[in-house]
This record gives sequence, C-alpha cells and structure tokens, in this order.
Amino acid sequence: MLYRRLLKDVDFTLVIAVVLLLGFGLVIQASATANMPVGGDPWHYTKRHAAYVAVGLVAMVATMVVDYRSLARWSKVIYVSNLLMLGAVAVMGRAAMGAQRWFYIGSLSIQPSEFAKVAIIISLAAHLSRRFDRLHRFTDLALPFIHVGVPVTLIMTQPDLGTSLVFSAVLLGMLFIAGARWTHLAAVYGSALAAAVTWVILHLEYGIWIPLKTYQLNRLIVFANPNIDPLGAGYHIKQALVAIGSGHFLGKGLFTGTQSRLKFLPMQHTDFVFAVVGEELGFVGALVLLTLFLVIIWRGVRIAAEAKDPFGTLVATGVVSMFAFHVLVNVGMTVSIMPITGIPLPFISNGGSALLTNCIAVGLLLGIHYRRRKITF
Amino acid sequence: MDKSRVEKRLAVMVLLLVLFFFGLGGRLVYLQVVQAAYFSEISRQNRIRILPMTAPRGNIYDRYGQLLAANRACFAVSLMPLDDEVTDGTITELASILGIAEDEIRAKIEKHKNRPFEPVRIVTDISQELHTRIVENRDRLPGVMIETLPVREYVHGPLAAHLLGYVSEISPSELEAMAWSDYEAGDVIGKAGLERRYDKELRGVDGGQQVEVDSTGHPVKVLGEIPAEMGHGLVLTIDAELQRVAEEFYDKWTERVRKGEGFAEVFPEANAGACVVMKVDTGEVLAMFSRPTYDPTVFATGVDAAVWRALSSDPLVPLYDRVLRGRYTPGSTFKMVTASAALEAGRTDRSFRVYDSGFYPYGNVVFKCWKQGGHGSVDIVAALKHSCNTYFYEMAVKLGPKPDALIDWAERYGLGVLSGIDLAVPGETAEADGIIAGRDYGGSTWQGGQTLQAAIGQGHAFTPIQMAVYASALANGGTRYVPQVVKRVVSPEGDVLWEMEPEVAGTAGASDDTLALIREGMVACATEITGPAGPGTSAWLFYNFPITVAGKTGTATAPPGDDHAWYVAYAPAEDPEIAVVVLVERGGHGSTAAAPVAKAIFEQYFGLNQGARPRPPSELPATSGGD
Repeated sequence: MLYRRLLKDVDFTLVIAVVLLLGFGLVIQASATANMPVGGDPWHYTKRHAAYVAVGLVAMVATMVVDYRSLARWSKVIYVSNLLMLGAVAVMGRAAMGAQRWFYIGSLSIQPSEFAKVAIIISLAAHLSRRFDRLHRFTDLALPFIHVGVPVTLIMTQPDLGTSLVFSAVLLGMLFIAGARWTHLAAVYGSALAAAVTWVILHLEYGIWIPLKTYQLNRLIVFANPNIDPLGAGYHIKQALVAIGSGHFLGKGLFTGTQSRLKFLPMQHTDFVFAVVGEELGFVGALVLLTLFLVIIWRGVRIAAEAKDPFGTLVATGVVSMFAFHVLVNVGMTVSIMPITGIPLPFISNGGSALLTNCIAVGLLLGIHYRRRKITF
Repeated sequence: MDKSRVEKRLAVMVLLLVLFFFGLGGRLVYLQVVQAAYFSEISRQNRIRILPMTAPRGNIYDRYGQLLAANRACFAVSLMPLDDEVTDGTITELASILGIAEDEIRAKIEKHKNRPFEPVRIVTDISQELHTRIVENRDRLPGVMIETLPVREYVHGPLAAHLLGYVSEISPSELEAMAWSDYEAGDVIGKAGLERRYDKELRGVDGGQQVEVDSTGHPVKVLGEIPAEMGHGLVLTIDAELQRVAEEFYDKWTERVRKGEGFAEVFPEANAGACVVMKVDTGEVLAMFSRPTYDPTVFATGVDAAVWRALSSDPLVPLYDRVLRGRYTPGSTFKMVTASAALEAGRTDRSFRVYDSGFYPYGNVVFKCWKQGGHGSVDIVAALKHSCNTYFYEMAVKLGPKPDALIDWAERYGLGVLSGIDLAVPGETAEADGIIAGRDYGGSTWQGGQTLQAAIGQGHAFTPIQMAVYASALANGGTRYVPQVVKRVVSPEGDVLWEMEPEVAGTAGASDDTLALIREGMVACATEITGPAGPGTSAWLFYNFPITVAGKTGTATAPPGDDHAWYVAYAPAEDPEIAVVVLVERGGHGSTAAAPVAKAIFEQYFGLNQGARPRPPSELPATSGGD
C-alpha cells in the first residue's frame, strides 16, 4: 500500500534530476580537486564532498517525510533562531578570504547564511500565505521587506553580498506569486537597481563612501571592464573564459583540463566550478548541466501550481527562485556576463552547508508534491 | 486563492527563466563554438601571466632638499613559468651563465610553487655583461626573462648610515610579527633606522602587469596594468653638508688620535664613537652619526655572504647605532648636573669657594683631583672651567651621603631616561635608557664614597642622544625637547602629509641664576685662556673663536682600556642655537680627542670654515690637555 503510494506520489523526475546533478557534481569535484592534495591525499576534497552528498540525500528524504504544513506553525521559532545564528556568526565567526561566514564545530565548518535561505523561505511563506492576494497596496510590501531585510543586513555585515542578493531574488519571486502588483515590484526593484548602479558610479567617479570592500567592488564591475583589476578578478575572469572557450564542443575530457590542472583557474572547486565543466566536458557537458537545472525549475514550478495550500505554493516558489538565481548568477559570472558575487553552483560547488541546504530545499519540494491536491480519477 | 492567476504568474516566471537560460546557452555557443579556436590557442600554452612590479621606495632628503636615499634601476633574472616544468637543460645552462649552483635555482622554483603564474626571481642586480650574455643566449633559455626593478640607493654611501638604516628581504620571523602582518614573503623591508621606522610610508604600493607571453615565455602583449605607486618621501631635519663635514672631520681627527700625530700620547683604540648636533630650541637633529659605520647600499640587493660575515663578526659592531644605544660613563660632563643640584639646594652659591690641594680625604679614603697639586681656591665657575674634582667632592658631601639629589637632577636634564626619539616600530626599541648610579644599582649597599664618585660623573652610563638633550636643556633655559629627525613626510606629488612640531618632554626646573652660573663656567671652560689656575680645559680651541662657545670636556674612566673622550657644548653662548655632543671611545682626553670635532661643526654651522683648523695642543700652554 505504502509502496504503491510512494510510486504514485513521489516526483521521480525531480528525484532523478537531483541524483544526476549530485553525481555530476561528485565527478567534477574529483577532477577539480585532484591537484589540490591535502596531507598527500588527492581525494581529500572528493571524499568530503561524497560524505556531504550522502548526508544530503538523507536530509532530503527526512524533509520530505515531515509534513511541510507543520513548518508554518513553527515559522516564528525558525525565523528568530535563524536571526540568532546569523548574529552569532557576525560576532564570533571565523573570517575566510576576508569574509566572516563560518562557525567551526571541531573541524566541521557551518555556514549559517546557507541554512538561512531555507529558514527565510519558510517563514516568509508563512507570513505571505496569510496575506495571499491581499498585497494590492504599495504599503503592503513593507512588512515582507522588513521580514527579509533584517537577516539580509546581518549577512551583509559578514560581508556576503551574493547571499544577500539571493534573498532579494527569493523575495521578488514569492511576492510576485503571492499577488503583489508587478508595477509595484518593478518600481521597487528597478529603483533599487538604479540606486545601486548610481552609487557605484558616484563612488568610482567622486570617491563617495560605499559599504563594500575594494575587492568586492572590483568583482562587481569587472565583467563590464575586465581591466579594472588585471592582477585579481580581471585575471580570474580571463582565465575562466579561456577555460570554457578552449573546452570546445566536447571538452578536453575529465582530469585533463589544462587550465584547472595548472591552477590557472581561481576557486575552481567552488565559485568557478562551472569553468571546469566547460573546459573538461565542453559545450555538451555544460548544456546537459543547464538542462538538469531547468528540469528542477520546471518540476518546482509545477509543484507550486499543484500545491494544496498557499503556503506550499509559496515555499515551492521560494525554492525555485533560489535555485534559478543561483544557477543564472553563478554561470553568468563564469561566462562573464554578470558581476562576480560569490554565489556557488547548486549541487556542484564544494561546500557542505550549501549542499545540505539545497537537499533540504528539494526535500521541501518533494514533500509539497507528495501532499498536493489530488486529481481524482 | 485565485488559482488561475497563480498559474498565470507561474507561467510568466517559467517563461522568464527559460529565456535567461537561453541567454546563457547563447553565450556558451559564442565562447565554445564561435571563439573556441581563439581560446584553445591561448590555453594550449596558457599565455597569460602576471608580472609583479615593485614600487620604488620614497626618497629621503635632508632639510634643504638634498637627496640622501633614492632608487636606481637594476636587472633581475627571472624564470617565467611555462606550460611544462622548466627543463633540466635550461637550469644547467642558466646556472652556468650566472655562476650559481643548479640546486639554488631548483630551491627557488620550489619555494615559488604557490604563485604559479608569476615569474620566479633567481638573481637580482646582475651586471651589464651578464645581461648581454643572457639576451644573446635567449633562444637556448626558454622561460628566462630579465626584469627591471628599482633598488635602494644611498646617494652619499655610508653618510648617516645608522640614521637612514638599510633595506633587505623580509625575514621569516618578521613575517610572523604583528607589526608586519600585511607583508608577504619576498617583500623588501626596512631593517634599521628610518627605513624601518617609516617603512609603511616609504614602501609605496606594488603594481603589476597582466601580459600575454609567447611560447618561450617572453611577454608579447600587455593585457592590463596596475602601475606601481612610489612611496612617500621623507624630509629630514638633517643638514647633509653639516653631517658630511662632521663625519669627515671626525674620521680624520680620530685617525690622528689613534696615531698620536702632534699629540703627547697615542690612543690606538680610538676607533669608535658617536656625535649629535641638535637645535636647542626645537629638538631637530642636524647631524648624528655612529662609528664605525657601514655602507647600507650593500644590503639592497641581498648582501654578499663575505661582506655580511665581516660586518657581523667585527668586534666593534658597525651595525650598532651608538648614538641611541651606546651607553657611556659621562665623566666630567656630568658636573653641570652636580652643580645644578648643589645650587638649587642652596648648598653653594656664586661666592662659595673650595680650596683644592689635589687631595680630598673622605672617611679613610683620599679622593684625588685630576690635576696634581690641585687648582687652589676655586668657586663654581672656576670649578667648571678647570673641571675641578675637589669642588664637586665637596658638593657631594654637602648634598649628603645619599645620591638622591644627583639622580633627581640627572633625570630632570634627560639623562638616564629615554629621549623619546621616534625611531622604533611598535614592539621594538630604538634607544637604551642608561644607568644612573644609586638608581639602577647600589640601593641598600650604597656607600657615601660612591656619592663622591657619582658627583664627578663616574658610575653612570648615558647615551649620546641623552647627552644632546641635556646640553640643549642647559642652553635653552631648561626645556627638554624630544629629539626629532623627520621634518616632513611628503607624497610623491609633493603634498605634505605630516609636518614636525617641536615636542617638549619636560622641563628641568633649574632657576635662571643656576643656568647662568653654569653657562659662565662652560664659557670659561671653552674660552678663558688666562686665570689664576690657568686656561679652561677646552680654551685652546675656542679662546679666539668669533662665536662664544659654552663647553665642557669629559674624560671618563672606562677600564680596561683608555678613557672615553667627551665634549658637550652649545653656541652662541649668549643666544644658543645648536648643541653639539662628541664622543670618542678610548680617545684619551675630551679636550684633545672630542672637542676639536665640535669646533669643526661650529665652524661649518656658523660659516667660518674657510680659515684655520684647530691647532694641535703642542702649540698651546702646557696645562690645556687635562680632564
């Protein structure tokens, strides 16, 4: 009985796409980190990644089994404890590459801003589901913006610009589906973008203060002007383009990408992992990867449409927005059509907290699908 | 909820996202299909490299703008990393041309592994010949390139070497120190003096070029560049001409002292010492140097092992700055402290006289004056003029068996306390604090006889910079200025970033009457050629000098070995401008070894040096060469 229900109600298309992505990620990690031995072990990073994949799959199933509707009741607790975690990391976290994002528990590092993504999706969905289709006035947007603004401010202090932007994308997607007027959203996001661009230009031209470190600013504008930081981001972006471009149609083959072998690529196992995909697996490999992501987005949107309640619809929308933004911005920066903001590629980049967060997010989608509106037949 | 509206909006969302994905796909087509050949070519031997460009250090000028430290261009041989490891053939070839071991090159490549796209520097500052040979053999040396780098150059060689300091590659222990936390391995850093204290101002900001190289590793195209920014410049308080004259005369004169030319005695060990010239009303140092010295230029490109061994094993430690760290018994130059203590305590005055028979019995010991037979009846002015020990033994007895008043007045004049000169980075010390008898040792075992010794300057140890603060305070009415050596910090564009202000460390608190009496004694010492007990101890030098000099000789017992020679002076006595302190280790007598250097300095400062040099003591009345 249970077995038959599983067959019928689990979204296997989504499960297969995610499992394929996880496998894809594992293979790419093995290749990208083979030249980065730790303590003589060239498979150090690969083994660690494999362990995270295993934990992620368990977390995914566990999340699916829990009835997502109970999460709506716990939303306030989730929201507040999330703020406490982010506040704690701001005070006592360890700085890596000039950014303070991690907690250390023994040798295990935990990045609360990753888990914050799921926490905010859940709590914001709970908040918006009570105002579903009642967001017609411009002022109705104030509360949701404050809801997301507080954790974003904490994350900005770490400083983590990329993750902060993920939240604004999630907020946009969820408000749109919750019924906010598109003119209002266009006005808010359009003016925010215009203000940000103006601020950066004023800073560059007249030196006015900006809450970004020089390296962050350079990475933001390097796609527009690769000569801005030729020894840092400018070098990285050129090397990434060379890697992808030289991959050609079918790629140089796994473990043979010269760009990554010779360490010409920056952060080749984390933020710039897509360059390794492009170099070693070529256009075909990159396209397969993007298609797998599109499958997840497509399934996610369907799950949002079929959800039993507004809360489910909104959670699914938030998850889809998160994945879509990650993929578009990460790949966009690697192919140099978007600013470098330090956003990892879901399921592929090295990083345990992000992998776990993404698996939990997929678990949410599966859970919503499992309890969807049944079409009677 | 309105199901159809939600579904419509979700459809819009999917449409937008698919559109974005098509955008990415299009970009991939452009990169991986359209441009693939171009990128494959670049990647085939990854041709983009980073060439770091070292920033030139800021210049150092004297107070009148004369250049003291600048940069010159030098050639360095580097290995540009290629696709493959550098071949053994190249290493062998290069090692034979450069005349170094192959393993040395391999070690440098190994050390550089963490910066794979930057060239590995093998040798810095090669000769023109070597440069030519490498260029001629370019074809046989794939990956070998020649970089042009700025190297520190000291325009006047060893002039003011200890003050300027020197630069060299940062050491592993420095890399771990807090003060240098933003420095990287391979950086050049100031190792001593101003180069170290102002390293952050002087070093500038390194730049670099992103270049495309050809298959042999030679740059063919600059893809991007961050120009190196020169460091800020320092304008010193130093008068380079005065410094030069003082150093040259000091060296010439001490050579005579060592050889005994024209002197009754020979002092063969007189080959170390120090000198300070300071403006009495601001604390600006016009000249300072330590002997023996060294040439700071030899460090700039990596010091030769033999040179380093010679410098570090020399028993006279040439790298040691005696002006700030050398501690020497002051001898009779301390007598102005004893005079101040006695006058201020009311134990003596203008008219009080002591009869000096040459002996001074105290307890069951007989203390002696330096002059056999004594000076006869002396007042305080004559006591300073002749440096009469007996008078100051009497003062010590009058001040009581405890040395407290002497300790107090020594500190009031800045002796035995840090001058505060700003020449150290946080966590390091530039100067020694000195020793005052009774303060730093003695304590409960102190004997009254030690007070008598302390009163004539035995048992203490002070640095020459402290003596300069002391002489300036005696000259300017009792104000202790912090000695300063930097007048301005200027950007390469010429903007003044920092400007020196005179800094008062404290006041001695001596009355005008006391200071006037001391001045009278010091003027008598330097200028009075006649008198019941003969000429002042340094009068042979300044009795006919156009400027009135106030001075005091010191001949400090420093067993084992000959006495240290001191001269402490200021001029003009009526309206003092500069104070001069000269120390000649094992120079024998302050009057003959040290005071003539002060005369050369005054002549240069007051523009009198066209004329006569000091005459040797043989031409002078017989009693002049004393304490």
